[in-house]
Amino acid sequence: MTEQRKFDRTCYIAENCAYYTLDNDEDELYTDESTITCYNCRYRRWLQKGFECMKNQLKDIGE
Amino acid sequence: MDFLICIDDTDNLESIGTGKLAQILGRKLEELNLGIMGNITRHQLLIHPDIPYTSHNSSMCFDFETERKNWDKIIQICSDFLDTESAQGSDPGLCVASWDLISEEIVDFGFAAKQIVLKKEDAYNLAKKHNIHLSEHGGTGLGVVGALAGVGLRFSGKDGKFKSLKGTENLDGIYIVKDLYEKSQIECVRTLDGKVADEDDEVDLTVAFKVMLMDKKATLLVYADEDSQNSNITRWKAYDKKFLKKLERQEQTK
Repeated sequence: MTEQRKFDRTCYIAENCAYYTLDNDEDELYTDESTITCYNCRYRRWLQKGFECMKNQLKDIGE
Repeated sequence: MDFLICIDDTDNLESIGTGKLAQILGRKLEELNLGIMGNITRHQLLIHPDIPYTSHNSSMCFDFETERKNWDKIIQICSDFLDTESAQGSDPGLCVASWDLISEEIVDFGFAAKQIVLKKEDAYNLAKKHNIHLSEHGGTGLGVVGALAGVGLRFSGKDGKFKSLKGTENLDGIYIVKDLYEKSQIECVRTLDGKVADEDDEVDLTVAFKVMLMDKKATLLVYADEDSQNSNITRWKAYDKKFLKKLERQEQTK
C-alpha cells in the first residue's frame, strides 16, 4: 500500500469513527486541523513503526 | 539567571497534554512575579515497548529567567502544581536546573534517552551528582527520566521543536526573511543541508510549520520554491508539520 493510500485510509476510517477526537494540543497535530485523519486523533499512540488506536478502531495502519 | 524547567509524563488519553501543562505552569510562575518564561520545546524520546507513555513519549522544557533566590520557591510551586494537575495514571517527573549546572554528561543522558531504555536510578544519580533538582510526582515516577533528558536535550541546542515560538502564532503568508527575524523569535532560516537563506529572500509560510531548535537557534527549515526560479527574488517554502514528523521518526529508527 502506498503512503498516500495509507493516509487516505486513515481519513476514511477517522471520518467514520465514533471516537474520533482532534488532539487537544495543536502542536501534536500531524497536518492542519481541518484534516480528519487518525494521525490527528488524540487516541492514536505512536509506536516504533506507525501508531496504534487506543479505541481499537484501527489495527493495521501506520507509516 | 536562566533556569530550565522540564516536565514529563503528566497526561493520560483524556487529559490536557504535557505541552499545555508546561505552558500553564510557566504562566503561573510569571503571574507570581518569579521571573520571565521563555519558549517551550518538545523533545522526542525513545518509543519502546518497555517504556510507558501516553501517545508520543516526549518531554516539555522551557527556559525561565529568574533570580537565584527564587530557586526553592520555584521548585515548590512546580512540585505542588504537578501533584495537583497531573492526570490520573500518569507518572510525572520534574527537573529544574540552572543553566550553569548543566554539563555534557546531562546532554549525553538526553541523547541516550532517545536511543536506549534508561532507569529512574540512572536519572537520580546523575541529577544528584550535578546538584540538579529531580523529583517524581505520582505513579511510578518514571517521568524523571524524560524530565532530566529534556533538560539535557534543550541545553544541547540541537534537539526539539518549539511549541508556539513567540511571534510565530499568526504568521501565514509570504514574508521577507529579514522581516521574519524582526516579527518573530525565529533566528535562522535554512535548508536541511545547511544553506542559510539571505535576508532579502522570501519565505512561504502558508503551511502548518514548526520551528526547530538546531545549532542553538530557533530554526525554520525550508526548501527552494521551484516556481520562483525564474524570478529575481529567491523564494523558499517552509516544510510542513507532516514532513517534520516523518523526519523525526526517521531519525528515531536510524
